[in-house]
Amino acid sequence: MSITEEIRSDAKPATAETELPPALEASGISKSFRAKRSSLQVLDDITLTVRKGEFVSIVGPSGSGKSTLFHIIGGLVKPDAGTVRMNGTDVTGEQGHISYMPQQPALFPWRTIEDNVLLSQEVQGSVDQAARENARYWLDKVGLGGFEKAHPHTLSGGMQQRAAFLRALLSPQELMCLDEPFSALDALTRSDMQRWLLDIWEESRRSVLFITHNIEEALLLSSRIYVFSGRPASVLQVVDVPFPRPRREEIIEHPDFIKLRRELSGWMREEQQKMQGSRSKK
Amino acid sequence: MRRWWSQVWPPVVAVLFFLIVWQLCTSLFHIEKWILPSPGDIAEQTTGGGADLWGHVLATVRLTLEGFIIGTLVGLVIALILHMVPFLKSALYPLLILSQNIPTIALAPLLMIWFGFGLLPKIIVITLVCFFPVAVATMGGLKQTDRIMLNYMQMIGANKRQIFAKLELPHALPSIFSGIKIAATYSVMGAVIAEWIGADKGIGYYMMLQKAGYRTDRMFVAIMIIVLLSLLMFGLIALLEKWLVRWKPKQES
Repeated sequence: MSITEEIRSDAKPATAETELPPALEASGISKSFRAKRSSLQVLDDITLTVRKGEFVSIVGPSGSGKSTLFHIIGGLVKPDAGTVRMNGTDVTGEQGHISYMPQQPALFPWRTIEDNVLLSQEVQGSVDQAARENARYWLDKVGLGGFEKAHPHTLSGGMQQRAAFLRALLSPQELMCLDEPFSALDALTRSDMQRWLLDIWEESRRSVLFITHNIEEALLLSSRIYVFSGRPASVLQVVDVPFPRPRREEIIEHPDFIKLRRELSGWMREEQQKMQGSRSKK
Repeated sequence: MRRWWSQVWPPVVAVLFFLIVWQLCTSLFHIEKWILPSPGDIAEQTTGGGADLWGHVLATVRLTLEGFIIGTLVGLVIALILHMVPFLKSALYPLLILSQNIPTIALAPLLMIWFGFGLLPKIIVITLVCFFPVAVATMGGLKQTDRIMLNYMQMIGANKRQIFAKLELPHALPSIFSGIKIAATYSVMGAVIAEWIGADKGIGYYMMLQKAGYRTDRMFVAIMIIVLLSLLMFGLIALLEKWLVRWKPKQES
C-alpha cells in the first residue's frame, strides 16, 4: 500500500468518537493583562476543540500567550470572555480538571521517581497498591525501570522529561496539556523524545493538547494543528494533518509532509516578522 | 580516607601548635596561674574538677535541651502563623527584629525579677535566643518555593493544604535546618547566661563559683565544656539534617 492510499483511508474520522462531547472545548477566549496604565491584550477570541483521543497541537511565535491559554484551561486564570468546557460541562475557572506537563520537568527533588510519578494521583485522591504497580509497569516501559527509588537529580534531562510525562499520563484526568515539554532538550534527545512520545501516545490514545514552536514536532505528532498569530494571539489557521496512524518517523521525508511543513513555516515566519515589526515601531 | 586526612591535619596541627606556644609562654614568662593557667593545668582540672563538675554539666545539658526544643518549636510555630497570615507578618516582623536588639544579658535579670529563680525564666531566656534564627530561616524557606513547581501544583488542582504539605514544607526543610543549627549553638550560650543570673547548679553557676575563688584554670575548663557542648548540639542537628534531607544534590565544596 502506498502512503497516499493510507492517507486517504485515514481521512474520514471514526464517527463514534465525534459524537461524544469533546474532551476540551474552548470558545471565544479573550484575555488582557493590565500593566500600570496600559492594558495588554494577550488572547483574542480563541476557539479550539480537542476531541476524545485526539492529539492537537498549538504552534505560534514565542511570547504569543500560549502559556496563558494553558493557565486559563487549567483554571489558574479567569478569561475576560469565553468558556472552557470539558466533556460537555462548563469548567471555566475551575482547577483540577487537567493533567499537566510543564516546560521544565519540575520533578520534586525530595521524592523518588516512583513517588514523583504518583504525585498527581496523590493530589487527586489516594494511591493504592494497584496504582503503585501500574506506575512501576509504566516506568519499566519507558526505560526508567530500576530508577524507581532514585532521586530526580541523578537522572539525565531526557529521563527526567520522561518521568514528568509519565506523571501527566498517569493522572486520572482525561485531558493532558503539554507545554513545550521538549524545548529545554538538545536536538538529539529531542528527536528521541518525539519518537518515544509518538509510540506511547499511539498506544494510550489520551486526549492531548500540545504547545510547541517546533513545526516538525507538531506535524509528526498531531491530528490537528492550530496556528496562532503573534500578540494578541488569535487562531490564524487550523490544519488537519492527514498522515495515517500509527505513524513512523520516516514520514518526515514524505513530500506531503515537507509541503505542509513549508506552508506552516511560511505563516509562522510572517507572524514572527509582524511581531518584530510592531515591536521596533514602538 | 586519604582526602579526609588531608583536610583534617592542617587545623589539628594549628591547634597543637597554639597549645604548645601557650604552654611554653606560661612557663617561660612565669605567668601566675590565677591570671593565665597553662594548658597542662587546665587538663589536670578536667579530671580533678572538683565541686561536682559533672553534676553541673548534666544540669546545663538538661536546661539546654529543654530550652532548645521549646525555642525551636516556638520559632517554627511563629514562622508558620506569619507565613499563613501575611497581614500578621507585616505587622509583627519589625517587632521580631526588635526583640533581637535587646541584649539578653540585660533582659535576664528582669526575667528573674518577674518570674523568680525557677525553670521558667531560664527557659524564656533560651527561647528568646533560639526562636529568632529558626523563625527567620523558616519564613525565608517557605517564601522561596520554586515557582515552576508551585505552578505545576496549582495546574493539577492541588489545594492550599496539599501545596503546603507536599511542596512548601519539604522545599523549606534545608533552610529550616540552617536556622535550627544556629539555634542549637545559641541554646548553650543562652543556658549559661541564664545560669549566671540565678541558679544553684549548672556550668554557668560553676563559673561564678570559680570566679569568686580566682580559679582561672577551672573557668577555662568550663569554657572548654561550653564549646564542646555547642559543637555537640551542632553535630547532632547536622546529623539529623543529613538523615532527613537525604535527597539534596551534592554541592561541590
